[in-house]
Amino acid sequence: MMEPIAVTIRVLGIETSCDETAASVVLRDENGQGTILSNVVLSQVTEHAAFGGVVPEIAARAHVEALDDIVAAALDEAGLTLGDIDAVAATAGPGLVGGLIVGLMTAKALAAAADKPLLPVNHLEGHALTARLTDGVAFPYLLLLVSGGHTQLVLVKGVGQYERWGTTIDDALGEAFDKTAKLIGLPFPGGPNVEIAARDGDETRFVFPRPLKGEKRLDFSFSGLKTAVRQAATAIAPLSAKDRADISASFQRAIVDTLDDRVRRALTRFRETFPDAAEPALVVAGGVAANQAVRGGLTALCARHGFRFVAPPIKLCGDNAAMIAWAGAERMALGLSHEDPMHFAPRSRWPLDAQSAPVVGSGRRGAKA
Amino acid sequence: MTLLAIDTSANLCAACVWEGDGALASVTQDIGTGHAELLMSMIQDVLRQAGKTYSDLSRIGVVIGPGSFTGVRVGVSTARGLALALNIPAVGVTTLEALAAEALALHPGRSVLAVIDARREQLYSALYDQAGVPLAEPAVLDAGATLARTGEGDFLLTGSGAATIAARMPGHSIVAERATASIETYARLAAAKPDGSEKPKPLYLRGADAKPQASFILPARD
Repeated sequence: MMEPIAVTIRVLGIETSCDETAASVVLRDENGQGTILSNVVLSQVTEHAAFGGVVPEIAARAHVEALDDIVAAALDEAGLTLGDIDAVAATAGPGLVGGLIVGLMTAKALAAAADKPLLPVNHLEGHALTARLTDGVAFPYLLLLVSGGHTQLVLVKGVGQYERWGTTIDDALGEAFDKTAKLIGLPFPGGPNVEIAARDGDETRFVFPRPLKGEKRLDFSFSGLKTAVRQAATAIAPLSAKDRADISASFQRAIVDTLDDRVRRALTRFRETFPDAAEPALVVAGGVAANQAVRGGLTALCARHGFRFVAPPIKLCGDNAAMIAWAGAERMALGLSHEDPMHFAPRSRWPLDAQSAPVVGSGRRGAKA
Repeated sequence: MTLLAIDTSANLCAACVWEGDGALASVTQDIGTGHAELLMSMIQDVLRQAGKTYSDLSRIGVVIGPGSFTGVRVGVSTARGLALALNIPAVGVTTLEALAAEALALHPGRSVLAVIDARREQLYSALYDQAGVPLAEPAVLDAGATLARTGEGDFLLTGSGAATIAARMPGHSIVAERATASIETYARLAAAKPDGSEKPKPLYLRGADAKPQASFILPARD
C-alpha cells in the first residue's frame, strides 16, 4: 500500500444520503491523527414521523432547502472559510438518489467555485473508517456494520480495500428494529424506542428464533424473526405497556444472541486469517451500534475472545458528515481519487466490496447487498 | 453585473454568462436526463468561452421549475452552492414566466397563458398580461380546471401543454410548444430581478405524494 502524505489536511464533508442533512470539517494531521473541527447534523425525524419511515421525496425536498446553511454553519463552527479547506468530500452513494444529488451537486459547486479537489465518498466507507478517526485503529480490522440499510461483516484491509464476509439475505438489522416498533405501536424512529421499551421488559417471556444461528457462513437474516414477533404479538393483542416492553426485550435478546453467534464465527475467521495480529479489533458502526444491549453483547464477546472492541461515540454511530470528511481525508492522503469527479453520478447502490457476489436484489443499479 | 444562468429543469441542460444586457456565451444540450453529470463541465465551458472565471461572477440565476423535481434540485443545489462559495446572491426564475416572456417578445401587447405538461393528465400553468405581470399565479390543474381559471379571454398559448389547451379551446394561437425557455431568456430575467430576493427554492406545485402508512399496527390496551 502507498505511504500516506505527511501534511495536515482539512476536509469539508457533506452527507445527505438518507434523512440527515449534515456537514462537518475534519482535520487530518501529518501523523494521520484526526480531529473533528465541527459536526453539524440536522435530522428530519419530525418530517417523516407521520409516515412511519423515510419518504424519499420529502427527504430530498428538505435537503435542498437546508444544506447550504448547514455547510455555512459547519465552516463557521470550525472557524474556517472555504478558502482554508483543502478538499470537499460528499457522500455519492449508496442511498436515496434524490438526497445524494443535492449533496453531491452542492459539493461540486463549492469545489469548483473555490478551486478545491472534489472527493466523492462511499457512505459505507465513511462508517468503515470512523474508528480510525475516533480511536486510531490500525489495519486490518473486522467491521460489523449495522444500520437501517445495511448489516454486514467486512474485513477492512486498508483505505479502499474491503472484503465482505457476510451480509443480510433479507432485512437489515435496523429495519427489523423499525418494523417491530411499528407493529407494536412504538413511535418512529423505532430502533431507539424498542431499546427504551425493552428496559422494563422480561426478555424471557417470548422465545424468538435466532436466525442462521450455528450456520457456518457469516450471513444474517431477520425476516423470520420479524414474522415470529408478529405472530406472538398478534396472539396476545390488544397490547399492554407490559406486553410491548416484554416483546421489545425478548426481540432485543434474540438480536444480541444472533449477533453473538454470527460475529463469534467472524472473529474466529479473523484469527485464522491473521494469526500474527497483536491486538485484533472488532469495530462496530451504523445506527444500531448506538443500542446499548447490542454494545454490551459485543463487548462481552470481544472480551471472551481477546479482541479489542471499538464503538464510536453515539453521535458518530448514526449518519453524519464527519465520517465522510474523514474518509475523504484518508483517501486524499493516499492520493486515491475517482477519475473526473466533477462528472461523478450519484449511485443508489454502491457495494463496498465490488468483488463479492450479490446476495440479494441485484439489478441494473448493482448489488443491493 | 456578470451573471451565470443555469437550466436543468427539463430535457435541456444549459448555461449562459450574461453581462450588461447581453449574453457573452451560452451552451445548450438536449440530454433528457443526466444533468448531475454534465452540468459542472458545461459551466466550465461557458465561463471559458465568455473569458470569465468564477470569481468574476456577481449573481447566479437558476430555473426553479415547475418541471422535473430531480432536475430542478440539481440546478438549485448547484446555484446555492456557488452562491455560498462566491458570496454572491442566487435568484430563481420560473419556467412559466420565461416561456411567457418569450411569447410576449414576439407578440407585444397580448396576454399569454404559459402551460407545461405536468403528466398524470395535469398541466402547470400561469397567465400573464402584456407586461409579463401574472394574472393567475402558477398552479397545477387538469385541463378543464386550467381553462375554468383563465376564462374566455384573448390570450396566446405557449409551452409543452399548449396543444392540450388549444384542442379544448380553438382560436388561441400557439407560440411555442417547449417545456423550458432558452437560457438567454432565463439570464435576462434573472439579471432584472431586484436585489435581496430570497434564496431560490424549487417550485414543485405538487406535494411529495406521500401517504401516512396504513401498515399493520396491533391495537393497544393502554
